[in-house]
Amino acid sequence: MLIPAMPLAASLLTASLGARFLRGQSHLPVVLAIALSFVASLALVDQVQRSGQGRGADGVTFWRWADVAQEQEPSGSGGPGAADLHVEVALRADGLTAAMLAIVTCISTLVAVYSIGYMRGDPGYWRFFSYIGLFVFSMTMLVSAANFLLLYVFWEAVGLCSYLLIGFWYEKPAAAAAGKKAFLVNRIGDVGFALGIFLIWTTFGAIGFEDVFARVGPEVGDWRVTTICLLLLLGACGKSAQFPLHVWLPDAMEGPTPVSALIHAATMVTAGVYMVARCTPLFAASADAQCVVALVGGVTALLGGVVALTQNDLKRILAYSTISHLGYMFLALGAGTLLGVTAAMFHLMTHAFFKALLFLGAGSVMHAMGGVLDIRRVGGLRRRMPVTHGTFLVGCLAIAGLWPLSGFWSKDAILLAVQQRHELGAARALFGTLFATAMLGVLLIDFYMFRPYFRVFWGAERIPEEAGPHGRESPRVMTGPLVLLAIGAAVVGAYFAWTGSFTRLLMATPSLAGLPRVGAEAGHERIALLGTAVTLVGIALSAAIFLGRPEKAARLARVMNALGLYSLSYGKFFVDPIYKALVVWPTLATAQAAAWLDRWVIDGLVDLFGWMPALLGAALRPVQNGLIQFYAVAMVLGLLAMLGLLLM
Amino acid sequence: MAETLLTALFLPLIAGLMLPRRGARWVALLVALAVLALTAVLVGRYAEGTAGFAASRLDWLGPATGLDVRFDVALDGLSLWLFALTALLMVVAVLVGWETIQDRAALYYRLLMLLETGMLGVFVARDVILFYVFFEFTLIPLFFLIGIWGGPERRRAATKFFLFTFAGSVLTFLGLLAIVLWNYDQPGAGSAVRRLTFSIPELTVALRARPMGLGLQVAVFSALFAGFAIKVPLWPLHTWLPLAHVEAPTAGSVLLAGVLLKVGTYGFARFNVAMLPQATAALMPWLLWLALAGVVYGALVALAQSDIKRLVAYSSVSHLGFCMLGLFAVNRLSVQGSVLQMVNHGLSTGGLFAVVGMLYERFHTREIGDLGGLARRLPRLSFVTMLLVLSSIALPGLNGFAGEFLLLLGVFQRGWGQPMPHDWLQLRTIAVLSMSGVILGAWYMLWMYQRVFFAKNETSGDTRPVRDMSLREMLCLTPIVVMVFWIGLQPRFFLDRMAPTLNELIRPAMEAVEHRAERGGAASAALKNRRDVVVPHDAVSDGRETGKGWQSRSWCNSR
Repeated sequence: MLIPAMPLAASLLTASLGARFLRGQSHLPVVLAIALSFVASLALVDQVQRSGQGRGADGVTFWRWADVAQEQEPSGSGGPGAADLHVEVALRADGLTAAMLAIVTCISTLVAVYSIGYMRGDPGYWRFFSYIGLFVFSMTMLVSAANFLLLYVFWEAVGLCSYLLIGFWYEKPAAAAAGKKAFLVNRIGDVGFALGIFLIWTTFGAIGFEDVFARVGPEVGDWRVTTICLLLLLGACGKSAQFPLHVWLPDAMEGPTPVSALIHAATMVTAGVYMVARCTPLFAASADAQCVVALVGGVTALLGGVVALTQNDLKRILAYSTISHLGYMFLALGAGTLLGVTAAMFHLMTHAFFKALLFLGAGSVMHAMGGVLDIRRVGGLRRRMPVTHGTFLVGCLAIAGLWPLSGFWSKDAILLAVQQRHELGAARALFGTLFATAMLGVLLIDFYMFRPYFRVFWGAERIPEEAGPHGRESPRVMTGPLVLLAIGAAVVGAYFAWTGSFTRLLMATPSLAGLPRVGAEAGHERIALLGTAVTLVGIALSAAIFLGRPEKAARLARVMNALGLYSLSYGKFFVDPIYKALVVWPTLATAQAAAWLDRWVIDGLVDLFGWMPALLGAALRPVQNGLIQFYAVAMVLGLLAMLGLLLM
Repeated sequence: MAETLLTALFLPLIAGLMLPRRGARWVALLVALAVLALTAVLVGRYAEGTAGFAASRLDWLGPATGLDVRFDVALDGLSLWLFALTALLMVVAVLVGWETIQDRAALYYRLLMLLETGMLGVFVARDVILFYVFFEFTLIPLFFLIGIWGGPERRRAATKFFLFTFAGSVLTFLGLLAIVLWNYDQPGAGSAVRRLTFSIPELTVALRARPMGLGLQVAVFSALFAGFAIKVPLWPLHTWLPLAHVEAPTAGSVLLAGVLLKVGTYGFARFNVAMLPQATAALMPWLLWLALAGVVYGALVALAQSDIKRLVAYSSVSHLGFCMLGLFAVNRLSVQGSVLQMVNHGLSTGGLFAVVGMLYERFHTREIGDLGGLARRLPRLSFVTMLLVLSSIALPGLNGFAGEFLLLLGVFQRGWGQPMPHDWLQLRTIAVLSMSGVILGAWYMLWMYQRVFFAKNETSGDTRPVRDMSLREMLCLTPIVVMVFWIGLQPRFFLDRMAPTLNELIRPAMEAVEHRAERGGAASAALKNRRDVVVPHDAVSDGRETGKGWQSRSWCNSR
C-alpha cells in the first residue's frame, strides 16, 4: 500500500524542508512521488483485474484506532442492542478502489507537472506542493478506506486540503472567505454524513463496509435505511457540490487554477459519487433514496447548465459545468442498475480527463493574459496560443459528447441507464422526466461550452492590458500535460467502451455484484443517435450565435432578459442571497442576541444575586443605629410580640 | 509507585513554599518538568487494580475515633489522564508567562506551584474531605493570580470568580456530607465499629449496594450539582468564565480552561453519576438539555465576540457542553468519549489561550478587528494556531475528533439503541441538535482565524516587523502539539487505560437508565394495548413528562 504513503512522505518532506532548502525545486519530491503512486495504482488495477470477481477484497490493517467493549451482563434483558465498537485504520482494495486510485493519481501527476510551470515564482511554491502532496495522500486514502469512519476521516481531510488550497492566496479577502465558505458548507454535508454513520452504527452495529453491507436486509426497517441513505446523500451533496449545497464550488475558483482542475473538477468533488457508489448495497435497499439521488442529480445537472450559460468568468463557467456533470453522475447512480453505477464511474473518469483539460486550458489562458479570465475581455487567441486552443477544442468536443470522443460514451451510458430505469417500471414518470432533462442538459452543455470557446479563441483579437507583452503560449511544462490530457479525453472513452475492461474492473467489486442487470441493449442506437443529433444541433446553433455578429447574441440575451430567464441564470438562481438571508444573517443575529442576553440578562441576574447581601445589609443598616433607647424599645416590642404569641 | 505519585503531588507544594526569590521561574520549570516526568512514569506503568493505582493511605483521625477521615490518594482510569493533563499543561503555563511576568515574579511562580498541587490533588484524592480540601485549595492561588497579574478589571473578575464558585461549592460540600451521613445511618453499614467513612471507593460500593431513595438522590444530586455545574460551567451558570478568562494572565487562562473546568466534570463523574445512579437516570433528559443549551448557546455567543480571548472562553462553554452531553448520556462510548474530550479540550483550548497570550504580548490587543494578515508576518505562530483551531473543531486525525466522535456516537446510541427509551423523541432531538454545535464551532473558529491571520488589515496600517515564535514559545506548545497528534491518531492507547474504570463507574447508572427505559416502554405498550383498563397514573409516560414520572414514582421507588 505504497500509493498513499509516497505522497504523504513527499508532502511532509516538502513541508519541512521546502521553505529553506528546496525553494524552487519543491516540486521534485511531490511530482516524483505522485508519479510513482500512479505506477503503483496501475499495478494494483492489473492485480485486481487478474484476481477477478468473487474474491474478497485485499486489505491491510495498520493499527486499531479505538476499541470500546460494550458487552452487557447477561442479566440485562436488553438484548444485543449495543455491539462492541472496533475501529481499525485499515485499507482494502477492490475494483472500485483501484479504478478511483488510477484516475486520481493519473490526473494528479499531470496537474502537478503543469503546476511546475503555473506556480513558478509564487512565494508559496513549496507550500503549494506540500498541500498537493497532502491532498493526494488524503484522496488515495479516502478511496481505499475500509470502513465508514476512516472514509469520514479522509473525507474531512480532503476538505481541509481544499480549504487550504482555495485560501492559498490568503491575502486576497475573497480567497480567504471562499475557503471558509467551502469548509462550512462541506461541514453541513459532513454533519449529514456523520449522522448517517451514527445511524449505521446504531442500526447495524458495525462500521466496516463489508460488515454493514452484509447486514443490509429486509429485516432492517425500510425507513431506517432510507434515512441513512438520505443522510449519506447529504454528505455526498456537500462534497460533490450537488444542488442545495453547491454554492461553495464556484467561489472555490479563487484558488490557483491547477487546484481547481485537480480538486474542484477531477478528483475531490467526485468523492461524493464514489461514496454513493461504494454504498450501493444500502441505496439498492431503498428505492425512495435512489429516486432522491436521481432527482438531486437531475435538478443539479439542469441548474448547473442553466447558470453556466450566462457567466462571464471562464473558471466559473467551468465550475458550473462541473456541478452539472456531477449531477449527471448522481443521476446515473440514482438509476440504481449495474449499468447506472458503472456509467457514473465511467463518466467520473472521462469527466476527470476533459474537465481537468479544460481547467488547465483556462489556466493557460489566464497565465498568458495576466490573470484575466473575463471572456468579454479576451478574444481571438487561437493564433497566439495554438496548443491551448487545440487542446481546449478537444476538451469542448469531448464534454459536448461528440462521437468518438470520451464524453460521448459515458454520456451515452448515463442516458441509457436512465432510459432503462424508466422502462423498468418503478417511478416511471420521474425517470421519464429525468431522461428528458438529461437530454435538455446535453443541449445546454453545447451552448455553455462553446460560448466561451468562441469568445476566447475566435473573433477579433482582444488582449487585456494586464497581459503586458507576455500574451503568448505557455511554456512546455504546461502544454505537455495539456496535450496528454487531450489525448486522454479523446480516447479513454472509446477504448474502455470498446474493450469493456473498465466495467470488468468495476465488476471485481464485491459490493456491486448484487445489482440488477438489464442485459437488453434495446434502443441503444436510438439514444446514441438522438444524443449525437442534439449535440450537433447545439454546436451548430452556438456557432451561429456566437461566431456571428455580436448583435445577435445581444438580441438573444435581450429576449431572454425580457422573459426574466437571463437574470435568473446570471444571478445563479439567487441561491447565495437566499442562503444569506435565510441562514447566515439569522444565525449571526441570534448570536448577537445571545451575546447581549448573556451580558445583560444572565450575567445581570448573577450580579443581582451577588448584590443581595449588600442590599440586605444596606436595608438593615439603620437598625443598628447605636441608640440605646431604640434597642430598648425594640426589646420591649419583641417581648410583647412573643408574649402575644404565647398567649394566643 | 506510591512514592512516585506522592512525590509528583507534593514536589510543587514544597517548591511553592521554598521558591527562591531569584531564578524562581527556572526552579518552577524544573519542578513542572519533574512532575511531568514522574507522571510519564506513572502512565507508563499504569495498571488497573481494585485498590487504585499507586495508592497510599494514612489515617488522620483513625477508624477508632469513629470519624474515619484519611489521607488517601490513588490513580484510576478516570483520574489518570486528567492528572497527566495537569502535569502537561503546567509546563505550558510556566513557560507561557516567562518574560511577561516581571512584577513579583517569585510570588507568581509560588502560586502556580501551589495551584499545581491543588489540581493534582483533586484528581487523586480518594477521601471526601481530602477531595474537598484540594477542591477549595485550587481557588486561592487562582484568585490571587487573577487578582494581581490580571487585566484592568482583575479585581472584579477575581472576586466574582471566587464568590461564584465558592457559593456553589458550599452546597456541594453539603451534598457530600449528606452522602456520608446517609451511609452512616444505614443499618449494617460498616463493620462492628460504627464509623463515619469518608472514603470515596467505600461510599461508592456502599451506595451501590443500598441506593438512596430517588427523592433523596435527587436532592443530593442537586446539591452536588450546584458546585460542579458552576465549575464546569454548565449553562446558564457560566457567566463568571468569560470575565475570569479575559482578565486572567495567560497562564491562569490556560490552567483555568485546561484543568479547573475539568474539576467540575470530574466531580460529576466521580460523585453524581457513580453514587447517584437513579437520580442520574431520572434527570438525564434535563441534564442533556442543559448540556445541549451550553453547546449551542456557547457557540452562538462565541460567534458574536470581537475579543479573541472571549471567543475562546465561550468556545469552552460549548465544548464543555459536549463533555457533559457525553457524560450524562451514560453509556460506555459516550462516557469514554467524554473523558477523552475533557483532555482534548484542555489541550486545544489551553493551547489557544497560550497563543492568544502570545498575540497580546506582540500587539497589545485582543480585538479581532485590530488584527489581520498575520499569516505572512508570523508564519510559525499561524501554523500552530491553525493546528489548534483544527483540533478544536474536531478535524479527523487530530484529538478533538476522537473524543467528539465517540461521545456523539454514544449519545446516538442512547437515542436509537435498545431497549427503546420511552423518551426517545427527546433524546433523538438532543442528539441531532447537538450536531449543530459542530457546524457552529467550525464557523466561529475559522471566521476568527480568517480575520486574524488571513486578509490584510488596511485600517491598522501596522507593519512593524514582529518577532515570530521564539524557541521558548515553541517549546511551550510542543507538548500540546505532540498530544494533539497522538490522541488523534491512536486514541486507543488512552481509551484502553480509562475503559475498565469508567465502565465500572457508570454501570449502575447505565442499568438505571435501561431499567427506566424498559419500564417506560412496558408502560407505553400497556397504554397502547389496554386503553379500556385504568392505567396507574405513574405509568403514564409521555416522552416529555419524565419529570412528573419521577416525582410521582419517586418516594416508593428502588430500595
